[in-house]
Amino acid sequence: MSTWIDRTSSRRVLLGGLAAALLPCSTASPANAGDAGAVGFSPQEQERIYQHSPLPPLPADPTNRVADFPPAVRLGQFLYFDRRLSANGEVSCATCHDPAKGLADENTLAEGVDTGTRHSQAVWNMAYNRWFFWDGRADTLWSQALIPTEGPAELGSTRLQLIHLLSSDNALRSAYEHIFGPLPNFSDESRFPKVGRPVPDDDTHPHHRVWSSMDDADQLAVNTVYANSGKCVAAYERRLLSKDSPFDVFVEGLRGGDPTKMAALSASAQRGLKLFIGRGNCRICHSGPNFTDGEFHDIRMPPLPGQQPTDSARYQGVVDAQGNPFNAAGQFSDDREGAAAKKLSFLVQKPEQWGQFKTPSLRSVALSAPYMHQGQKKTLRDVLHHYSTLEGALPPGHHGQPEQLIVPLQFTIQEMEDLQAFLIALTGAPLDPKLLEQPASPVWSEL
Amino acid sequence: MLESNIQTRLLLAAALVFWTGCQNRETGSWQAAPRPSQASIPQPAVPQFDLGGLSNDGTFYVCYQTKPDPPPLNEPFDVDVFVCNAAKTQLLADVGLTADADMPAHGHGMNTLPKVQALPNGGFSVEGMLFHMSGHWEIYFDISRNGITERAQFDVHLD
Amino acid sequence: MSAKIFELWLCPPIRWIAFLLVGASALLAQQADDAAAPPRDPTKLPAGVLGKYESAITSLNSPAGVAIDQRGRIYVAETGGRRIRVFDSNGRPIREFGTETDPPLLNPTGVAVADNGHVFVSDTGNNRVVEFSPKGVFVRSRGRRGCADGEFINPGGIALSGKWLYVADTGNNRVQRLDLGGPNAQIIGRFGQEPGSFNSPLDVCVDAQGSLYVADYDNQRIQKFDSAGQFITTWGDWGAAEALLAGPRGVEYHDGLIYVADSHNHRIQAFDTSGKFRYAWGEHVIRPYEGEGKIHYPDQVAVAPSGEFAVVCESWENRCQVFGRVAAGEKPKLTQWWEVGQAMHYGPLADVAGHVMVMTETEGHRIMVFDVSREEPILIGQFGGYGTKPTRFIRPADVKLDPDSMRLYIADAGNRRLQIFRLAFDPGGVVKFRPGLAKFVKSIDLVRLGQNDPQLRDGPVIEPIALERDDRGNTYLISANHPFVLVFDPKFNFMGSLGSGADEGHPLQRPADLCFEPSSGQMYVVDAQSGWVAVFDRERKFTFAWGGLGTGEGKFTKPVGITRGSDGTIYVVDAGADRVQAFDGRGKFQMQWGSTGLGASQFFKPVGVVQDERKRLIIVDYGNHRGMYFKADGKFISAFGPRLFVRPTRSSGRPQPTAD
Repeated sequence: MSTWIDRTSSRRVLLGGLAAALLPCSTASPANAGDAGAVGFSPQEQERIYQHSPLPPLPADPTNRVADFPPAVRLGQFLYFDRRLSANGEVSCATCHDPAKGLADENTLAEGVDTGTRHSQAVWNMAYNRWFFWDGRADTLWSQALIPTEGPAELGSTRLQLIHLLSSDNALRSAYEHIFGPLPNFSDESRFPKVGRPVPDDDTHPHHRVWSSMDDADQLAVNTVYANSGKCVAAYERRLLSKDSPFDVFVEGLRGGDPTKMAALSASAQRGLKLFIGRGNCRICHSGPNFTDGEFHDIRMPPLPGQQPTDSARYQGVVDAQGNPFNAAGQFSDDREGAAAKKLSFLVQKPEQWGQFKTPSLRSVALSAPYMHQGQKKTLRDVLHHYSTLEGALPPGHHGQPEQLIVPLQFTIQEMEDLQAFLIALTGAPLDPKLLEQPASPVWSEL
Repeated sequence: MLESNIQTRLLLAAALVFWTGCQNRETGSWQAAPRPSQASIPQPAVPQFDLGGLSNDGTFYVCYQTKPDPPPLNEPFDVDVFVCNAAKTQLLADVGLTADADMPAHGHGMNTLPKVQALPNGGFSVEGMLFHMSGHWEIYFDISRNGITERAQFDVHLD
Repeated sequence: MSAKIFELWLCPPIRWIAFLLVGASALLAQQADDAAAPPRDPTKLPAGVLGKYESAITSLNSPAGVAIDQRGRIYVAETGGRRIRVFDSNGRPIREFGTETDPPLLNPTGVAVADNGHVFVSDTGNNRVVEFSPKGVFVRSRGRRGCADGEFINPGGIALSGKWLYVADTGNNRVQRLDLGGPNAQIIGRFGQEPGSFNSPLDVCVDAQGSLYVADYDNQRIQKFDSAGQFITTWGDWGAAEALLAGPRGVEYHDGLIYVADSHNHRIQAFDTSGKFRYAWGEHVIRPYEGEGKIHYPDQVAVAPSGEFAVVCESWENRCQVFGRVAAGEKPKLTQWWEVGQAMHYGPLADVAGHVMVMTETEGHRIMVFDVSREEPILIGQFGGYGTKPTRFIRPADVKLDPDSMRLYIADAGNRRLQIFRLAFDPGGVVKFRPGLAKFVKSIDLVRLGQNDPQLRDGPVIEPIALERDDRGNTYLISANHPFVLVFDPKFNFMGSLGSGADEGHPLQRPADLCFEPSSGQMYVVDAQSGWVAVFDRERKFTFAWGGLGTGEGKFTKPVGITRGSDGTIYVVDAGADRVQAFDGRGKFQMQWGSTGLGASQFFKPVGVVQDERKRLIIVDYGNHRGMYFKADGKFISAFGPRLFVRPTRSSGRPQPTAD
């Protein structure tokens, strides 16, 4: 009943022409397919390469006044690993965003207190993000940190449980009060029940009923402490940086004409880099020093086997970000009129956002297999295979408008190896091991 | 009284702008357009507009200034826009303006919906532009008057 | 409302009083019971959801409206057949009515049955609602064409609730709530995109609490109002994914659920009364005219009061299908968007200049540009997509390409505007797909234009469905809600109309398409409802007409497309008769070809016709999803489009123009 629009083939012709223009000197011909010899980069290519390195200094987060306050970093780090934050006492942030597993995990779908619907994202360089989660439903790192606490499949807890934990544990209380001043008195359980949270889409939920029975002022007191807990976790996560990778060393060398530093990238990885910024068009979305545009695209990625592509992703994320009371424009933000709040006001929900997921950073990407929003791709090679062939890709949508750059790139085996070598070379220098475990105490001391 | 004040102000603004802005060269890509030499500009008191051109049906001459200039890749930026008649003799304040941008080769545009505010000087300020990908962009100023909306468009290449 | 309409509503007085006295009692329904078929047994109702295909009522003439009474009898508003048909729950015909009233029903699209068995019909072509007795005897009617309270323009779906009759007053972009026991008519909503406003509301239903739900077609949403007409909530957005909508045409309430005929997604979606998605059914067609549970452009859905079954009307396929309930725990059959992929639908109208052909693509709300210099048209560009921004469209309905300037005029019906583009490319260059080949020049806001003009201000909002330009740069617009052609000067000031009230004798009721003859300066306008081709001179005066309703030579059933050949021949496409007729400039019949089907010289609801520079006629065979090439003398050349629809033309033997 329909004509299939073979947009793919017509675009391929065009891209072929484009590729020729972008690649004055071909590098992946069989003649130099081995790993020997230097790879030359044109001035334009060099300009493009410089866009990716180094990672700039940590951007400020004025919505979180404790973002760079060491005591907040310490409390946040403690909470990040604290399993008491979960409903069953077995899950912490680190369960799914495990420092031993590239700040993600090996599961396809996230396994918190229950199984989620998406794959755990690696949380490297989160401080550089514009939006958070695969669907961008949080607009600040600290408001992001709040959502898994109450996610029924994640920590499965509630904000009332969290504030009671903070007030009943002396160390946590002391750490909190050191940063934010005295905790309110939450001891009256008739005013502050043990369990409860708002459940916006189900007002018959027991958690919601408890929450809505509370006074506005008491809700505000809880929300303030809850928000502060997120700000501490965010302060810690801002330290989880992936930088100083072999690629960064190479770029230093390229800039300064230092062949020793340039040797940090193998010839294969250099050829991969050339593809990345050239014919592969990878850089169009994986742009900038954090290798992401921070935005959302439909790459026609099919869901896990047996599942259906029913995740609306960014389409709902836009509404959630704007409706989140903990967003940058909300009353718990420390900068309600700044740039972070403004960016929310430029958002608009559009049908074409349906099924668009956020471009992930590629820094340290080799550490955090599997990949994609459901962990559909086990290895980097599988990811490259998708872009190479679009085998099994979803149709472009009955009425939709997918990213038109998504055409089969038809990589050779050598090209896939080169790209993979390049991606592996984005692995950052190791972090201080003390940053990657729960500290003995949540209380910071300068000693 | 108030009305005549506004008229005076508009005329003044119009005069200043078309002297310093609308008489400049037709159009150009953001990267390519050099600034006019400072010496050629008698009154640098108002923003200088390197860039401008006729709208697609020739009704308006639109000049604009991105802030920063050139527009950055994947960072929000603002634009100041002035709409003149085609002959560039008059600044038009009785028009509505919306701003947008597309990447024709990608089949999509920006992820933001910019906000436009009319300025007291007869121009418009556009907030919330964001070119999140490198490549060829077309920036659109859609000018509305009496139910007719006409487009002025300009090419931008970001690499 | 005027006293005259009040009188109309009151007569005949005796039935009126009886109705008041009896009210909603079942007495009349009992008396009316002459149906032989036993009703289904509600005690055997399975627990599963609706969506299991059971049977079909076929050979209907464009059935768009449906209702089911307490006994499970199915009432079909047979729009093309201009009557109401009643079937038992097994699809056996019981009776039909509506052709004997004065005037007879004209393209009825809505039907509702009261508890007492009285049948209410929205008589769309006559701009009124009509009440019939259970046996189909005219009781009373209300309304006439207009924008005042109690007046209608193209009323669509209707619903009964207690003493109220709700009418989707489509052409006025509002809902009216009529008091069955008095003269009151309450207006709900007006034209607009904001919550509580409408853009072509097509159907209504009312839940057990008296809340009103409206299928807000061009806004791609369902809107909910309380029983006092106050806006409560809205849901839906354009798209193919679950809970999104593409052209919601029908709404039905049953037992806590709102069923939506989601026409361009070819499915029925069920929501709870707050708009939360519950389930959906509908398999996409693969073979032409496929039925057996495959749903194709559903118009309305009705659920039997017992809940046992639902009836889905598909005027496109001239049938209604009956769906029962699936077994408990099972899911009904549903084709998901990723199983269908991206589809292209030609039409309804096209234009050609040089070797460039432009067509609207209704479902993607896009414009497609083809190179037609070869045997087969080659897609060289497309643009648009659903939306309200400039360069986006809602229901692009017609295109006009100026060969000299390569300016492209597009009637953007849902956005109520004209959009003007310039095709910017070297026509002599390589034939290939070119992103960005259409440069947006400007758009004309017809809502604003209508508000600014004193002659148009009091009329309905213009809904442009066809357009033409003359050699002086004037633009001629056909609006779905106006019984005349609107004429604008090159600066888009309203100049006047073809076929306005002051110009006597013209036959225009529902103009559908038009073409300009430069040598005589005449404009030929074809009217889908009256079946006439009306000719107007340069001064916009009616000069002569030919045609009229009928099936013989020179007569029409539903003529919707007209074009002028290079030799002056006028070609008229008849969507109701599936044929093309050719006339000279004076209306003298020359020849005809076409019949219903998939063969080489066959059509199914053809809608558009243009002639290219090689003098080939291109017919948009809309119902068959294909384009057809003919020589100027009617000889079939070739067809293009989806293989399943094109292949039959090759196997249908040597094509010959049919003789009458």
